[in-house]
Amino acid sequence: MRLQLTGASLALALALAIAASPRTGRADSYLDAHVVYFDETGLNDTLRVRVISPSAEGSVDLGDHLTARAGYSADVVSGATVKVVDVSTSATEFSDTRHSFTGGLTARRDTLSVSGSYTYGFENDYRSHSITVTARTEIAERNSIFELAYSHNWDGVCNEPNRDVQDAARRIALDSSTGCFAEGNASRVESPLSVDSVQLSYTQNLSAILVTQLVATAQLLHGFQSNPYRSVLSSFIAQEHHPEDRARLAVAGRVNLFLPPLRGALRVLVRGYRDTWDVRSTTLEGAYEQTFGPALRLMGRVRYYRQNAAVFYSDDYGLSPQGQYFTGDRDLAAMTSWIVGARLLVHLTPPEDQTRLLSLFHGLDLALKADLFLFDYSIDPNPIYRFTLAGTPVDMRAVVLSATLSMQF
Amino acid sequence: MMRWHWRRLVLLLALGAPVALGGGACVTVRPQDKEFLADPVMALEARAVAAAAEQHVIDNREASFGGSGATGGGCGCN
Repeated sequence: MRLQLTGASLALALALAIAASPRTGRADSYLDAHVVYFDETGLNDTLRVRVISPSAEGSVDLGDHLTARAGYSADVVSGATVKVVDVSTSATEFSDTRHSFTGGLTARRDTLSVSGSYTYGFENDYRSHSITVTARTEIAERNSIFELAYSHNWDGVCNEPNRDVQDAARRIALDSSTGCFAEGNASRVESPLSVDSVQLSYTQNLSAILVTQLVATAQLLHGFQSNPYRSVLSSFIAQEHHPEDRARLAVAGRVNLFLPPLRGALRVLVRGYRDTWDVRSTTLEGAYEQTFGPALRLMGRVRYYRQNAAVFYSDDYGLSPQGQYFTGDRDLAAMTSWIVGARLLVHLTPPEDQTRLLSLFHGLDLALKADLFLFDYSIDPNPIYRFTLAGTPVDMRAVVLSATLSMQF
Repeated sequence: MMRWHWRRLVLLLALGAPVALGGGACVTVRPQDKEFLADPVMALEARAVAAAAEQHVIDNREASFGGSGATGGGCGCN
């Protein structure tokens, strides 16, 4: 089952660039291990999905100006998905594993750094090659940071050989990943998807306790963007049919305010998003992190998200068709979500009379995090834009638990 | 309803950006005054890989993308 590597490669590559940047104050060499457990339920467990995502990444300095880094992540997914929307009995079991490998280099000189990385991701029915280049500079006594990142993906989605079927309403969905990417297998084809992403950020220290950031991200996608397994019920049953092109733009502003009497920080994020499928969304997030001495930090946060439906979305294409495209993707329905969570972080450093902890580490961090996701698909006054399963409202919620161990050498 | 939210957000960013850019150009926090900015709780992306993993989860449940994952924050003391 396709797990959407599209955004992940840029995020992972940027994460590696971030981790290698001097501003984060990281030790020169480190190894991070991270695991996430995602458990989502809805409609009395009819649509339960569980994902375990282990990842690891490390970095080592090669001289004064060059850092090499590598990372690996996986998603082990099992659960149920809707194969034919909107047929209530069509939820079927599935499982798959995604693997993603990343490697890159960062070159630094004074206040300028340039990073490049390559990521290869694959699963049974999806392949992704991507490159990311990031340039970053710090000016005004390192109070202003500008960063520009570009990423390109060459992705391939396993599909039924529907190429010659001009009428989208007659295309059939993929029944399984068996035979995908096998040489000479005429029953499977690879549908390409190219993704270009650009991100520009500007970070500014506005005072001794206030830092702000503006981020703009643009993305162009061209190619097959549907779920190859999913069908839509209308006057026909056909593989869902999304437009081949999509342009996306997001603009976000962040503020971090340190509160000296409390030794804590208040964080606020505002994000707006719009794309050519006419999805518009707003994100508001607030968090507060409190330090308890040098070794302990506790953070709590609340995130609110709201989006309208894509212009071609319909919960019932038989009654309300929306032009030539049709989808069963609930992510394209009108929705709101709330995330409420907390994180505990323990930071261990060597005793004063030693330079290393356990004779090995400059420092050790252990972070434990728990988030509750609540999704509401009933927000739009027009029922056509609400995701339901054969007319039954779907209440989805998820628990996400994660643990991170960071070792600095 | 959604259009109202979008316009309000654009207005907020449109007003906020010049303030941040214009104000920022005049502000220089001296290295010796960066104690609080250097505190780990002030980092915008202190745990980048964990943040990327979390963003991966969110991106799989929303139609939106981007606006996160940029570097920065903290003191810039190095």
